[in-house]
Amino acid sequence: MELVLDRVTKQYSNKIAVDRLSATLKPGVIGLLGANGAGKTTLMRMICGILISTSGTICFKTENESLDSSEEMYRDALGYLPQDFGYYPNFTGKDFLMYIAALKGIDKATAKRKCNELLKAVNLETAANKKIKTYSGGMKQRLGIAQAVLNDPKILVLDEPTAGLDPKERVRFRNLIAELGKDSIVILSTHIVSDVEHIADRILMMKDGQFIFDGTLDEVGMDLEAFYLQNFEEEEEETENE
Amino acid sequence: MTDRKLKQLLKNAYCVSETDNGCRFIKMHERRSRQFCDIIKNELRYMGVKSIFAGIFLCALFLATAQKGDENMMWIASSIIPICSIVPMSLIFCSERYGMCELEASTRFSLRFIRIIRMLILGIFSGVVTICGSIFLNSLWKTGMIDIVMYLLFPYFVSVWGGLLVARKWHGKESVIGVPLVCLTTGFLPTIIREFRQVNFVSDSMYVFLVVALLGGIVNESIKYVNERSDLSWNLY
Repeated sequence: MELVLDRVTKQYSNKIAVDRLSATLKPGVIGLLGANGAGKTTLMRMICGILISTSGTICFKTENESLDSSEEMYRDALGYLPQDFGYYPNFTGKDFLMYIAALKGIDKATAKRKCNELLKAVNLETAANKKIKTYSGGMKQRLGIAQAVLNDPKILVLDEPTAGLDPKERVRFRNLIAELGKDSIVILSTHIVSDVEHIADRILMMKDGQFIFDGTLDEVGMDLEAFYLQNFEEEEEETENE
Repeated sequence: MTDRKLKQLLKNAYCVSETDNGCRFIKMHERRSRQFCDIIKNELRYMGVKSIFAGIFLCALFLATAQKGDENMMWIASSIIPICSIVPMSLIFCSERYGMCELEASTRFSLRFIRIIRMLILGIFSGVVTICGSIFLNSLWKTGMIDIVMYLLFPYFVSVWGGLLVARKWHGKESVIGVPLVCLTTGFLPTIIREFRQVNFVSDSMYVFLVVALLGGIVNESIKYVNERSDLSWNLY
């Protein structure tokens, strides 16, 4: 199973957000690092099919070649947690998960069981029947993580998933993601370098729409945060020189 | 030894072996078939019972004021009807209103599909209410279908067409303000129709053609809205 990005580009009228990216992503946790405006969210949206790429292809290859390659089958294998997401105001946590489960094509009985399991896993069991508008930021984030993994996705795309989580929840989340990474392709975009450091099998660093680093933690050869800041400082120097 | 004691002893003696990839086995055989009609039922439920009842209440209020049948009441009813269209329009755009577009766009039954379902449900509901309302009012007012078309259907279709156009052109949450604004502004249309009628500016039968053209415009805008806002395109092989 692999997700192949081949010269994927996204160009807006006055900016190239993603510039001819190519990579082959295999099962495991892939940490996507980059400064604000590097193109991480644009790339993730293209992988999830929310944005059309200007050029290039995104191809998902599975072991079962006889599977019909269609939009629907691809989205069936996808789980996505956006950076900002909303909710219908009268929904409870459980209603929200059941609604998303219906949209993901999960039958009612399975959806009920999974919702209960996931609400327990993200520690929202007691708040399941309360309206989402009463939730704190961290609770909403945990609910978002739960909906992303409802359909046991083969490709899990997480955009800033640990924003708003306390340290204890962050550790819990890391364990969950590490477990999912055994069988799925997990793409984790974050500014919190320590999240990536602990669980990522592969690091992708983006700058101005391009990959400036693609390798493992060992290949970085130094502390990841120092390496990240080094690249960020180089970017600042370039901006000052301009 | 009783059966109960024997069962307990057997339970204690027999150790259940650890499953080997049990979760994986369950995942392979999980049913994953949400039927089309389940999605429709889901949408009906989550579109908001309150919103649907609010729409019905508005229609009932309008029908109650239209009982008298004189031209003044007809004009008042005609001004209210574009406002009634705010309710179905807000239901169509609730994904944008509440920031759910991105999540819904990434699911199996995607945002495009949900929009089509919502438009179909609301279109059928509005169509039935409009036709039944028109026939009912025609029998009450006894003014002829031309008046019904002019005073009811024309403003209603203008507000729906204008709302869809605004929603397509104004991206994001701005359309939440724009659509009710269009509907409220269209409430002044009956005044203009009344003035035009007094000076014979537009012939009454012209409104029939305008209503048919507006229907075509509504269908066209609906298709453009569904296709333009949910840009999903894949390269898969």
